[in-house]
Amino acid sequence: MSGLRLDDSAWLLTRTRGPARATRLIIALAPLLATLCTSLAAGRPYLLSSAIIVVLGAIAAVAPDTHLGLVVIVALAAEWMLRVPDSLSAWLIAIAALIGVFHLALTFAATAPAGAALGRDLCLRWVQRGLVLAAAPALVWASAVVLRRVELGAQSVLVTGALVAVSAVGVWGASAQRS
Amino acid sequence: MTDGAGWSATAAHARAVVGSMILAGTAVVLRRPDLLVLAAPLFVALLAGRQAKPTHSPVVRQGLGNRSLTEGEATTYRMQIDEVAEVDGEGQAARPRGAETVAAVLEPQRLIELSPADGQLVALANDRAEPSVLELVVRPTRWGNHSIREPLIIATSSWGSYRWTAPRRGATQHLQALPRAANGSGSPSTPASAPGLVGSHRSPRHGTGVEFANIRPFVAGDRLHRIRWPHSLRTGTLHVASTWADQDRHVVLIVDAVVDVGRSAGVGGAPSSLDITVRAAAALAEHHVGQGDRVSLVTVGSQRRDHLPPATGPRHVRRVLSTLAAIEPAGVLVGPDRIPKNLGRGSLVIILSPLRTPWALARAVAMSSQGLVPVVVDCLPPDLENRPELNPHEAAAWRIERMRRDHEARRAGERGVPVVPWRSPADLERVVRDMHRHRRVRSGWSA
Repeated sequence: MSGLRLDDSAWLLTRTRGPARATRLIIALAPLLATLCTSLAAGRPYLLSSAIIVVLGAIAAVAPDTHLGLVVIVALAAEWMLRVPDSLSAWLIAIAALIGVFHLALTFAATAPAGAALGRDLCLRWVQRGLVLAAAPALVWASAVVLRRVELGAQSVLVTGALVAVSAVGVWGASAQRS
Repeated sequence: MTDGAGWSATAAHARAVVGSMILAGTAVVLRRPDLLVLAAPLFVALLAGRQAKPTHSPVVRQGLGNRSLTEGEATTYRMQIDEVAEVDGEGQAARPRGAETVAAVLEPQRLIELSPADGQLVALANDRAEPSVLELVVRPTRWGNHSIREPLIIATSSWGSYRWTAPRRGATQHLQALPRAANGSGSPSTPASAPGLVGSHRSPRHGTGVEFANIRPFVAGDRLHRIRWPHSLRTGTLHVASTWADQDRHVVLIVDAVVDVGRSAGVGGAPSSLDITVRAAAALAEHHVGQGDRVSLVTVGSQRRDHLPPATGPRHVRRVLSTLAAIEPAGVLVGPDRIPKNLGRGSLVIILSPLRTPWALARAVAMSSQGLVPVVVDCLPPDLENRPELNPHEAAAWRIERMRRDHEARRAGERGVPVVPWRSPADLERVVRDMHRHRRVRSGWSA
């Protein structure tokens, strides 16, 4: 919920029960698992970056309605980008799915007060959404694998077009945020 | 009723927008399709959330189900979140795109129990074009006038992308918790209400009535049919039979609210001195009105200076309870001048006090010398010095204080003012009866 200070949130965390507590656990565990996947994909552990990500994830579990979640997601992506060379390995699907679950768990945790009892219908709805978000990367990954095998000419035109498309979606999303 | 103040994007939506843009932009610029895979879930969340952007602001109606109840009873705080339906092209009311979940947080307050505990609720909004209703159970555990602060009500759109917060105007809902009468345990039950207008207690005055009082010499103004001829012939002077007036006994309840000693734990918990005082006054008012007596109430030391004139009946009991519920200790002695000075001889005056200040006993002794019948009810919690919140020094201080009070109570008793601990109205009746008997013996009355 909005307007909660960190100390309030820490107290509220002790009041969580059932699904709300499980959601907090997912928020804390998802970055840990994602950074583990990166280490496995890279073939060696990166303790410092992993520790930072895990700590940030744990703090995000206490304060889900903040921008800390964005920092964790960017950090996970940066770790992947820097540690793992251009790769479309299967680990990528797992990390992307964990990012999706992390994002959705944060959103769900921010939707309800920490001490409120979450109903079965409400939880089921968010579980379904979690499955959708976890499945989405697999489709994109499959498309990327297919596209990589296809020889594409005029790479600069493709990159420019993609940038324009990304910018358009960004402007559209940001306009909704302002309105 | 509160009008909506608009929806705003949440941190989750910002995360989806900014996160997906950073990852997708980097993927395109650095030609890293793997980053596009990482951005995919955020893209999906962004698209789904943007698609479900609400079109209407909800309207909230909220309030307490019952604004006046007895301490320990519960009522509901009802919040109705309504979304104004829009009319489609065919003139049919369509469900507006808006809230998916509705949450409410009512700030916990001391001596107010909430259910669910912590006062936090969340529910799926109604899928049909009907209002969503959230209900919190509110139970005041102590008498008094409570202020329930406006809850925080938040509606969230699908995928948690947009949030609407009900504007809070600082308004409070007032909840009056009337004191629960402390009738004591094992005491005889209160007699049923007197069916007529006349109480079961005799008036202290002689006057027109049917109940024989005594035979006295004739005075001018006496009605002739009252002359007792056998007695007049025997004595040689005219004598008449006098009767007790057909009026009810006047019971004056004086509540000492200067200080509240001890910490109240609400109904069923350890009482403070004011808890005992107020609940005892409520029990006495119910008891005496139930017997048909006229009861008046004077509060001393309360921030609100109240004086209820003598009356009887259930509505008067309600007024007494309402006045008791409004008591707040002022910390200083205010309002002793409100005690009526023209009380009829024989009125029963009950002073309920923790006896922390000497005025109660002093006033009772003065009343006794005026021919009134004062009884002082000691309302200090009996277990005060044994409470765990006191340190050993405080406990010792209270033991010494209790010795001082016992000494003063003994002195008052020697001057005809009984000081009794609170047990029940019936127990107090016994004390008053004994006191009357003692006085009659002393003054040689033969009623």
